[in-house]
Amino acid sequence: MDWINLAAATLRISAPLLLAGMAGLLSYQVGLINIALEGLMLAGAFAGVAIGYELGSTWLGVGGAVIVGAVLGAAFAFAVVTMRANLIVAGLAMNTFAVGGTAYLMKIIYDQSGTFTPEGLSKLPLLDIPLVEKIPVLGEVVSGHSPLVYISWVMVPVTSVFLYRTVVGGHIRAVGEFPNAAETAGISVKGMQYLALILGGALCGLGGAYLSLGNLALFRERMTNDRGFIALAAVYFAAARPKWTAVACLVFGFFEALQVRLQLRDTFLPNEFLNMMPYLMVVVALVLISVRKEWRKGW
Amino acid sequence: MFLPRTPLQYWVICPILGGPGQWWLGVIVWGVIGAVITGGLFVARNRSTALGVVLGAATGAVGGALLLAPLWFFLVSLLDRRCAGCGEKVAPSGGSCTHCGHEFHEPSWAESLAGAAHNIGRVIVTIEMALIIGGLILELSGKNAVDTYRVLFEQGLGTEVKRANALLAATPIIFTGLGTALAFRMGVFNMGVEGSLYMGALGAAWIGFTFVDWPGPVMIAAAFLLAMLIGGLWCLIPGYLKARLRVDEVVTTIMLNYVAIEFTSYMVQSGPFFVPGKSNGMSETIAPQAQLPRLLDRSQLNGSFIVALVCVVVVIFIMRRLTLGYELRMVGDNPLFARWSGIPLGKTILKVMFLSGVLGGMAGAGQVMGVHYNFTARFSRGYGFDGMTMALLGHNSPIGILIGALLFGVLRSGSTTVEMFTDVPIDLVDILQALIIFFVAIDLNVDFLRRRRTASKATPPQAHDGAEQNSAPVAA
Amino acid sequence: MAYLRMQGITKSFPGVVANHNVTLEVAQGEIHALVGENGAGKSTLMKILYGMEKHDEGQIYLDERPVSIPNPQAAIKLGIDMVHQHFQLVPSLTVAENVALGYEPRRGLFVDHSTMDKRVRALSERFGLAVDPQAVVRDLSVGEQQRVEILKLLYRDARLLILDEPSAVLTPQEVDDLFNVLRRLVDEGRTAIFITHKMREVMTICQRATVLRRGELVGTVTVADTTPEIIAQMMVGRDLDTLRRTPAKTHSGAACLSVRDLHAVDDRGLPALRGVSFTVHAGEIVGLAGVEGNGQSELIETLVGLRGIKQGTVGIEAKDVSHASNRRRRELGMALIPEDRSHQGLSGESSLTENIVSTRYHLAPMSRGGVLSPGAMKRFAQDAIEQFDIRVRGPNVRVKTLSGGNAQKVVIARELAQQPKVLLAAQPTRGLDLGATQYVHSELLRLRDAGAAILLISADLDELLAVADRFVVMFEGQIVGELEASDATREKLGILMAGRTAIPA
Repeated sequence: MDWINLAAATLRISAPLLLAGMAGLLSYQVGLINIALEGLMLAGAFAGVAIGYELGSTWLGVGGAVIVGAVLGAAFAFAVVTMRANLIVAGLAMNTFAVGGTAYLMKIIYDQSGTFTPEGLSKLPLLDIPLVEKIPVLGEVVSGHSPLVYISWVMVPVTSVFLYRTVVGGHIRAVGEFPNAAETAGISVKGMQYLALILGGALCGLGGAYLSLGNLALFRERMTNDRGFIALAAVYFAAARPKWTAVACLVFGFFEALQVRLQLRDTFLPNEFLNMMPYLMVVVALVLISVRKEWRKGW
Repeated sequence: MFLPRTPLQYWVICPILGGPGQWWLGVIVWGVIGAVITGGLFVARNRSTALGVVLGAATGAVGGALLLAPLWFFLVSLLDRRCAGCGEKVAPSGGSCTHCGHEFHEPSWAESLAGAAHNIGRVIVTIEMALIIGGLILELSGKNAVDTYRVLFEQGLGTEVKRANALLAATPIIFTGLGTALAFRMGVFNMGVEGSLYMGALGAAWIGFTFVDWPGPVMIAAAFLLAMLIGGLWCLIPGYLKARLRVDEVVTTIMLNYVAIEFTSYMVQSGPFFVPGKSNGMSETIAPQAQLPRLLDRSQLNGSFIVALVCVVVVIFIMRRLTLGYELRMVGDNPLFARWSGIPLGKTILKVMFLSGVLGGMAGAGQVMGVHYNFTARFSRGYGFDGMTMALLGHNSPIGILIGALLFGVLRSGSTTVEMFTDVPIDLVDILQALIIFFVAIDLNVDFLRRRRTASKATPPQAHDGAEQNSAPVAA
Repeated sequence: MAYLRMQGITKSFPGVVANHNVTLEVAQGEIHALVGENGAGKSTLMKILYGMEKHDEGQIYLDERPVSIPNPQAAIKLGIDMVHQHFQLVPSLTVAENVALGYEPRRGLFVDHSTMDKRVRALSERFGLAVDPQAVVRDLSVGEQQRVEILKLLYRDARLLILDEPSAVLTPQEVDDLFNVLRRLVDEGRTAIFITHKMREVMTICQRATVLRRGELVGTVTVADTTPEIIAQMMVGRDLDTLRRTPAKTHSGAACLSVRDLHAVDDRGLPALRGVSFTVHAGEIVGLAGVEGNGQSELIETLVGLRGIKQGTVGIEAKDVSHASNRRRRELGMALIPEDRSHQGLSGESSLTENIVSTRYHLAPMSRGGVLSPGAMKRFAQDAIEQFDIRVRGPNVRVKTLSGGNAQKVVIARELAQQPKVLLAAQPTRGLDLGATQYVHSELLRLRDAGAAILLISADLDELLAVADRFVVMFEGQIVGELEASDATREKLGILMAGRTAIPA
């Protein structure tokens, strides 16, 4: 097996997971479970292609995706924070809306069904890291990715520093853990919740843009393929710690990469089982976490 | 389950229902609703001139303002009670007078009637709002909303066969909605009925194509039973994790859905049920005697619909009259109370999750034996999810779910052909569904009754200092 | 001249007047006690001062200037700050982060951690509030957490500190430390309002005391010129002797509830019960005394079977029920009035009938073969309404609409309806008015005379002294003493509750 290839593919595949994971982490830290990651990503993916196509620039498409993600994140925040909608139900509504809305728009605007391949829109360029690319193995693994892949890696420490070092990040955590204490300290609880959900929306938009513009420039119905839920699972898995969320995303990315490779080689383990793997792992992880908690309680 | 809490919710929605708020706002909103409906009818029916539409809308506005608003205000006024003790305005039902302590009691028949009207009203408003916003989206994308809806409902309800098809589309949603509602009523957010549906369907199909020499009724019964058993066991997994290990069920059930989908796909795509030469992802066809009888010649509507109706009754019975129903309601209302009362929390969760899965399995069996006649990988078009929507929309009441599912059946079956007659994408139905879920989520159940009641009992006598420690004066 | 003057404050909630024309004057540099029974309106008055509630009438003056305080932030700006009974601390943040929350020293976008730590450390040294600024709040003891709360106030430079029953959760040693800190604060010219109902504290630390009763001002007294008895009289407005103890019975009955060497852990996995042993006989009321948080809650939970036992046994009559379920224990004749009435004892969303049958719905005649009998349930509820004089018109009302006393009657009706052999009553009169309290006590005594074994757990010594026949005192998860009613006095119990096992002669 081509291990270098596999490692590089893992990094590529985990990029959108990382972005969505950081989005999910932000809202988890502010005390809101964001089921809408999936829908926000899908909307971002469509916006990336559509806006890029209309404006004739891939990068403008990426920017548009981020803005659309943030706007939808704000709409979600409006529903959840201001209108006090039930978090999970509103999230599911957002997901359904994104699935229906993107397919609808694709048919209405471009008269395409299933897949939309914008003519003349190029995918994002691949970028080599100047010195690192020369290092034998490492260079091949780490270098030569889409810029969004690099951004996704950078996002992990950035999120971590944001949450644990900055004033606003500290406020977000305080709001998530003990809203009353934050409120009396003069911190706007709703403001922080809006901020976290909007930033999350922007990150999801970016993740979606990577899906539709990173490898090929095209949009497919439901192309996020439940990555939002996997990212959410990674957040759960890591109890919303940035580093461990990133590790979980990498592990899930690895399984997907492995599966693509194995599929090509027609091997011992049926594909469906590999597909299942991340989901099963989430369940197992949740069980282990709970068991440990119960053990500590001494039950 | 979801209570309105923000002023905005009342500010936006209450006038529509004629609740607290400015009365003239209520009149205007009801007038507009009347105008839209009547104006729309004129357009749809007669394709009339602009003048006709305007006249129609005007009539509707007057009618809405004159008829609907007063009717509603009359119902509201029934609730606008005064205390017999002191003559002050008081909460509509229950509790004690907040001014003089005079105690109240059960709601009167008028209050019950108003409550029921209110419940129906909010479901109607939910769906209406979704249709209106969906219509706006249609208009914005250059389609004729009224035409589209007309075609949609014509295709859903136009002929006997179409009506039968709507019932057919409603059947699995009734099952999954009931299954979901049982768990929701218990306060367990079980989204895993979809997984049970797949697992149960596979079990039913296995009976159907394996024991081909069994007589029909035996086979059908066996297939249903196996599907129910497998489906129930499948939901028992997250149930067990929740009850014994306190694993959050929202995530596990979503994840196990995917596991079930992948597992069943494996079984028919490359596993033991793989049939060489058949189109991809389909199992062997089930024996003819195992196919459920059709209720109508030219429609696929079949016996599973009758089974679904029976299930509605059974679930009502379970919820109202069984000790299990009592247990699940108490666990749903206040799990801590249930635990301290000795109600076996874990066992209740396990039993109800099993039942929830059983209903999911029945949905799967019904689809396999009544519609597809084989197991097809990924055949469910989000039935579990639709069921969840129904449970939310119907506030976990079986009758509400039945009504919601029938409406959804019309939408779904109408939409399959709507693309042929108009150029509106079928995905509109997804958008409508999202809007309905959304409005349920931001809580169209503006329960102004409840709001008043909470306002009046926010501080029951003597209890508002409850946070203080109890300790009578101590003379040192 | 008063530093703070709250003039003619009136605040009413629907149906309740929490404060009626209350005037409070606090001088600069004093520790001012605000005393009164539960429901006297102390908390409401302070919430108004802290901007958490709006008053209907009246005016607040600070330094003789009228001020308006719409929210806590405004109060903090004016130098008024409050330590709540339930600490407002974020568990996973460090001490310094909690103290500075919302007012962090910044360096650009970032928190200036070193300056923050330095400031917090300086403050803690200056006032003798020993806590490590780097420690995570989750790991701190209750006393330390309280110090963090006070530090938070000082960090925001509060001039007027409101302390809401700060000693309720502290050990005597910690209370002394707290008093030292308070003295140091007022020496600096700061002012404190001290909510309490413990006379000893009023006498030790406060200069003046304002007494509230039923939302009205009774008077303000100078502590040096008065006696605890006078203040207590003002608080209750009745002769203390009305709470005469009923004659104790000689407990010749058989052991009904026996607990031997019980060990259990709390939710965090720390030992909460460390070898608890005692016995309750038929026909006696055993009062379990102790400062709250010394393992009483865990003890109830283990006794009713909702918390696992590490070691030891629980027996009802002769049967060992150490590992039996709650339901099994109830079937053997155990009943329970839970501590937290509104959450553990009742389900507010459900009807009275549903609440009242919750411990016996699975038995005939309420249900047969798993099918409920609504008629039997309703009849049972109606009987209970009559027998226990629950003031509702029908059995279908939702319980959350009932007043506190009526709600407690529902609990009592459920638990006492079928003559339990063992009754665990945890804080059964918490938050009830006098009439309801006396009703509960008479029910307990009636049940005792009928031969039940009752364990009464209460934070209220007077209640225990009024009804209990025997006392066990709990401290840090252990039984530190047993007293017969005849030689139990407030002083002896107080000493035991403070953890000193040896009773001075």
